[in-house]
Amino acid sequence: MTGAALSGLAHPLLAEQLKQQDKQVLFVWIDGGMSQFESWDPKPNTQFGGPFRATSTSLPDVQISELMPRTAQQMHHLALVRSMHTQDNSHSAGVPRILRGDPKNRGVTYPYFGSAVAKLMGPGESKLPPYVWIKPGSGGFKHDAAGFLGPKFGALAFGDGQPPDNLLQPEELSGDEVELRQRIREFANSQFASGRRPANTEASSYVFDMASRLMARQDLFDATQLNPRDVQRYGEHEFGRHMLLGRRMLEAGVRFVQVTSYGWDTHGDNFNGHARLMPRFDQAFAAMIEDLSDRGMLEHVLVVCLSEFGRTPRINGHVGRDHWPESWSLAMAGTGIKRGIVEGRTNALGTAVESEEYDIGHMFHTWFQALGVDSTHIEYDNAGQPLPIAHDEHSPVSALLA
Amino acid sequence: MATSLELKALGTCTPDRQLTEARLSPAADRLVGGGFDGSIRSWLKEEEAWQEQPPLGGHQGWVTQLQFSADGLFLYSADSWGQLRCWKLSEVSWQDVWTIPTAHDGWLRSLSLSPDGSQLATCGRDGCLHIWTAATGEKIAETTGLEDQFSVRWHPLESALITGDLFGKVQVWSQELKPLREFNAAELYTEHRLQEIGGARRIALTADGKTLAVAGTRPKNGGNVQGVPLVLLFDWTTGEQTGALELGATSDVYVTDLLFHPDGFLLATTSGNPGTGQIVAIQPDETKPFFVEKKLGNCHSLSWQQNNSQLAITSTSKGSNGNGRKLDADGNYLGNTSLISLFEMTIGSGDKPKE
Repeated sequence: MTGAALSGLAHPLLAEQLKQQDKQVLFVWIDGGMSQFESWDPKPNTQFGGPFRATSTSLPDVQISELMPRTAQQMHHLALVRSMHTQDNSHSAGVPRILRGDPKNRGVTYPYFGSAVAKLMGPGESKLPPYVWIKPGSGGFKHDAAGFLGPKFGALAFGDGQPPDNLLQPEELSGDEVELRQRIREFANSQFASGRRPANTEASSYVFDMASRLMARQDLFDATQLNPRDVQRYGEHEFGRHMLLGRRMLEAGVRFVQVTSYGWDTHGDNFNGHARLMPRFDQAFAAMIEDLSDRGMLEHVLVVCLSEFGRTPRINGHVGRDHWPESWSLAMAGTGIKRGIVEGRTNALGTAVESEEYDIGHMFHTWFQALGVDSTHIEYDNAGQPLPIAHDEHSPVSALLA
Repeated sequence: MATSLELKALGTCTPDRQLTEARLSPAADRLVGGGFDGSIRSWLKEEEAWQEQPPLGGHQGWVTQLQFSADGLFLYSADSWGQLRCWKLSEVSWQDVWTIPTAHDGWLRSLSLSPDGSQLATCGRDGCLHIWTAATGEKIAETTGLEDQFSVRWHPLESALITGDLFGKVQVWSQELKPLREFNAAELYTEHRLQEIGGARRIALTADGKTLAVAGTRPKNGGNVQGVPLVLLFDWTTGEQTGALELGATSDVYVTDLLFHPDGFLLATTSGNPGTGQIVAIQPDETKPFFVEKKLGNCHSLSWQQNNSQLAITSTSKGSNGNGRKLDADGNYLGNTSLISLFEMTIGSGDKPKE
């Protein structure tokens, strides 16, 4: 397996180096489009500012929405980017474009950021699945995320934060019996793989390998092991539970943890919507940042929080905001990232970026650099086709890098 | 019994900003509108035309609620930053009487002047309910620790206050803000994914106080909220629900304002998907409205003065939605505006229509 992984990069020795690093990623995906006005870039008392106030933060002269009082106290850990300008205002195309870093079209499907990190950096010492996705709704193995890397680098999704079905090992099986069954499976797989494309057979074997690793860590899903105080701090709602599980995954050494929240596409009743959505996000996100900091984990965990776009300044007749890739915000923290900064700005009304605009390709470069991956030199080797790991016309944002 | 309704258009006012609501003075000679820009827009009727007056400043965020005193000499206003103000009409302009900058911590959602005009009740997103003297703004009573309170109304005859919250709990309070009893309007609420949706958005009572109407939506989903505009009717004395009036389809979403006409029917406005809105008139014991007007699009408030049967409806400008950056011919980013449509309302009566 190691040999197959190494062959996917143009510089195998470098690949080995990356795999030995202990860097991890927490990727918080707010699906639908969080409004930057009601979160990171408020414009109170302006034509498009909406009804809410802004609140001071732990960063002097920096304010965010009043709907995020707890995150406001963690701002000194965060790097906020207010000058995102991306290309797609639709969900269906926009979501994968953002998640894949919107690279140049070379006729291949690029991997999601999580799959890229799983490929470039491997599972780490824990050997747990390198890319897990904690999400509402369905779970399972999401191989599409891997693009041309091959299905093996897809995301293992825990639907509703639950472990995969049948994770529990039957009690009636002894350890020797389990080991024997594994050897039989591996033999059968090697026979099947002979003469077949490795990418597909590897994925099948990989899933079983990951399952066996997870079976040894069923405690991660055991709610009785949770500290009641943590449950209260993160919130007993869906996002709180999922973020707490995400923290446990990081503590267990999972390389890339994605936590998704759905329901943010507030074309109607945007303000009452964010009035209920934001406090729950705020509660769990702030608790996570606080905990990662307290545990010293911000030294090696990269935290990213974003949506596929922001929301329009213009308020429609359903008192909602529509899709807005023109000027929106995202936040990050942790390893390789400067702390307590705001990069970029919008104009007074929030209708345009006033400073240098950043596309998602800039962010991919920045995140790779923060993880110790030289995005400007490392390439994928897609069956002999060298491919940059991030948009080759973009570059890291040095102002964000520590 | 009213079986038909005619709206004769009298004119329009076209502020350059969106409004939360507009209110006619009791004599229907003045009109005020609460702006998305913290201003109170004001118009004076001169002969048959409405002349815009200088706006009243000093509020922040959105001006969320406006109410005239019964004699039209005082105006009470509230905003989404929690400020409460009283204005007095002095000759032709409004003068500040008192201001409470932080009457609430954040969004002051609803205010209601008592029937005798002496007290003002307010409620808001901070979960607080306050009663103030209308003359001076002195706080008389308060209760805190409630859920997000969307609406407050005084009972027309009894010394009681009624509030409605996000979860559809309608609470009756004494004048000292002791909880007395509840009405269950939970049908106006649901939870979807991470979001709590809906709420008892508007409250109205018949003049005899015997029937309570609580309005909002029967929500279907969050995000881009969809739901059927819904009015729940309750017998005030027994507390029993006596009706549930659906005023449209799931794309019509919210009842945004409503009142009981002295003839007994309900007049309401709805607003849903962009471009979708109605003025609706319905008898409480009927299932279908006897009047529906959809031409205005998203309707957000209605204000009616009985003496001269004048009606003012606010609605959002057409073409209000769209992803991305919509620019005008000069390359400027376009915002939306509101329209205030003024009507003379005529009621037609007859026998109850046959099914």
